[in-house]
Amino acid sequence: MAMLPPGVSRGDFDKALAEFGAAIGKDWVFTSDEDVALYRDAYTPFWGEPEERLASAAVAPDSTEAVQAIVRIANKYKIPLYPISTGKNLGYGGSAPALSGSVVLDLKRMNRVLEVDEKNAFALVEPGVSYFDLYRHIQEKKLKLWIDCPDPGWGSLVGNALDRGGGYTAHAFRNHFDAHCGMEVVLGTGEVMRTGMGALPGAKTWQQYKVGYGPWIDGMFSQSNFGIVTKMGFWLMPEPEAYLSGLITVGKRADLTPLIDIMNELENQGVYNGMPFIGSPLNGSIEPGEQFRFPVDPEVQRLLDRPGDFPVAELEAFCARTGTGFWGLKLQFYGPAEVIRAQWAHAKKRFAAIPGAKFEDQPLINLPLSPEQAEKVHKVVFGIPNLSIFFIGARSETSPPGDGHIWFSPIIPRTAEAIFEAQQVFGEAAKEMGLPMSPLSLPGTYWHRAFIFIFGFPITRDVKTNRENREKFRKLIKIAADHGWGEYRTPPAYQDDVMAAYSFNNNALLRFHETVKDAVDPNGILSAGRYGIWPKHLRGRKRT
Amino acid sequence: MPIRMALYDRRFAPGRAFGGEAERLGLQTRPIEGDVTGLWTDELALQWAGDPAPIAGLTATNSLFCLEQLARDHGMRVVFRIEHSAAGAKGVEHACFGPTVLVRQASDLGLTGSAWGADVARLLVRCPAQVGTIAAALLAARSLKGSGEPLVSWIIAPIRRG
Repeated sequence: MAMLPPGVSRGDFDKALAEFGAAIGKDWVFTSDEDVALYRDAYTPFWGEPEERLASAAVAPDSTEAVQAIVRIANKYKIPLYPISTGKNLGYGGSAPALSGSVVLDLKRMNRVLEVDEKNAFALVEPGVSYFDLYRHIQEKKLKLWIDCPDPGWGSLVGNALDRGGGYTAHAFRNHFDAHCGMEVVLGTGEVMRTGMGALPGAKTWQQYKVGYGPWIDGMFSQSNFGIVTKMGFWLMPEPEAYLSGLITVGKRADLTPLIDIMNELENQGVYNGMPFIGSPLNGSIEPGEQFRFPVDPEVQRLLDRPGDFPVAELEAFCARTGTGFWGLKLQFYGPAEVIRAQWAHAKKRFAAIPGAKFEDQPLINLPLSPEQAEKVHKVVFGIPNLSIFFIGARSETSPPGDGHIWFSPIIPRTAEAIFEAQQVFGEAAKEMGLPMSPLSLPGTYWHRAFIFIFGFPITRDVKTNRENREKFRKLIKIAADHGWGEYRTPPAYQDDVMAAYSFNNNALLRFHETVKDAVDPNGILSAGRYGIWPKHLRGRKRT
Repeated sequence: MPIRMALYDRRFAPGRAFGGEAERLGLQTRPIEGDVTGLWTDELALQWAGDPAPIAGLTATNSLFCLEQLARDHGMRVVFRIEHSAAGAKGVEHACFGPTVLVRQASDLGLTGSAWGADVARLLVRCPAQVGTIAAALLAARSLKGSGEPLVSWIIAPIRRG
């Protein structure tokens, strides 16, 4: 057996494990090194170091009642639990606990699709349901509904939404937490609670009206450790009649300002509903991940590698000579063919105000896709879960196979000015720290009202390199905070650092979280340390 | 250990040799080209939900990474692994980790011939039911060219509980 939970005696731990086994069956209590090793975070930045966060054991209940039983036993023996849904939050954590020695509460067996309502376009699922599972359920039942899934599609709808992940279809569904409606939660005491309309016994609208009556508290169970979500509702997109995309390119660096301004206005007006992809065609392609397929032109690469000031004039001259866009924006539309054709026509009129703007029409795609079409498209844009993200750069010299990555992902304003500032600030920091970052990097557009300036941080199996990279990551968190930018999500190794940056009025927000934590989980047994929220008995300790 | 299925990445000559030999040995084979999505959604997810059974393969490392993560949810893990990496002008190196008996057999085979992919297929079907002690060995095949991408041969099997 690997280790004991902190502060728990061998005798008490053995008693707790025996009681877990009596409650859910011995086969679902995992204590061997072999079993527990499966819960290591494949992308941990502490690989092979004493600080790596490891589980002491794992339990896998199959119902809400079994989760309640586990929580009550854990309270009796003060055993720290770390619930996971499918544990595939790679890049932001994985299945390893934030506190070493915790018992992983693996909800993989709670994998039932409880309800899918086609007319009202919602689903109610358990935490072990993956995007693959719900997609298969919808396909088998021939329901005219789409899911919105992240890259990759093996994660849990519940887990991804609670970590506030995002996807790629229409903006009403891309923000997975915003697209949820109603939860069932097991609290730290073992009591079960339903939120929103679910609090009304016999409610007919649990998955249709989010807020119910009184304070709306669902947000308290995302990126937190106040309860264990055992059911969650999601709004789904009715299958659209057609899909259309169009590309706008502009030739000058300063054109980014009107490009973003018009993009925002049209999105806020609902003129387009798909995810806008922005990027620099000078980088090869503006499609996420496609850059690996289209290497940067050698002349552009030489200019980008040249020491000194950013070569704006030379790059603009290259664009003018070759017809390449300095920036590109791909708009995407879902809906009836005549409507989305009209929306794209209107968008083109608006962007034509930018001198030199060029447009590229893509063919309209009638839906549903045939299996042959589905193989050729960017699948997540069509709500099709897949694993291809792991293979995009596999044969590329610019993205050699590695040992994983974690994401540094601060939120910045949705303006070109903010992008230019972030490019400069993070570009200088990256150069000083020896990190790879293109000076033409543009942010992610998952969220409707803000950008994520996201970049991957390599993980290695080399202890010295990982130590150096951890320090660099922490420096970037501080640099971002100094400029008013905070991360939207981060792996456990940095959750204290990011929470510390949200420090307005002497950390009033964290102190509020801690007050809530003490009230709803008095023994501090749930996900100690998750998102920087520690139970009373573990607060104030120095951590690496 | 009865292997239910052998996967091979048909983009690479060693993968094709592995697949051909596995088929000759009577195993069900499945070709892939890196991405394992289709294999997962159409076959493995359904099979492993009811009856997790051992599979073997010679694939790119990313393919194994995905399968290893998916296998975890079904109480399965990688029990034997040979990492085949290009060693510059030296050719290919085979780093073996797993049951001592299998590592010893890999060392005996040497994996130095041009059809080392087929040798690996013959080796993996001999994996013992009980993994037992674990060993490692590094074999260098100096005269062979690499594939240009790190490849790995492997067996994923259910964890044996006492």
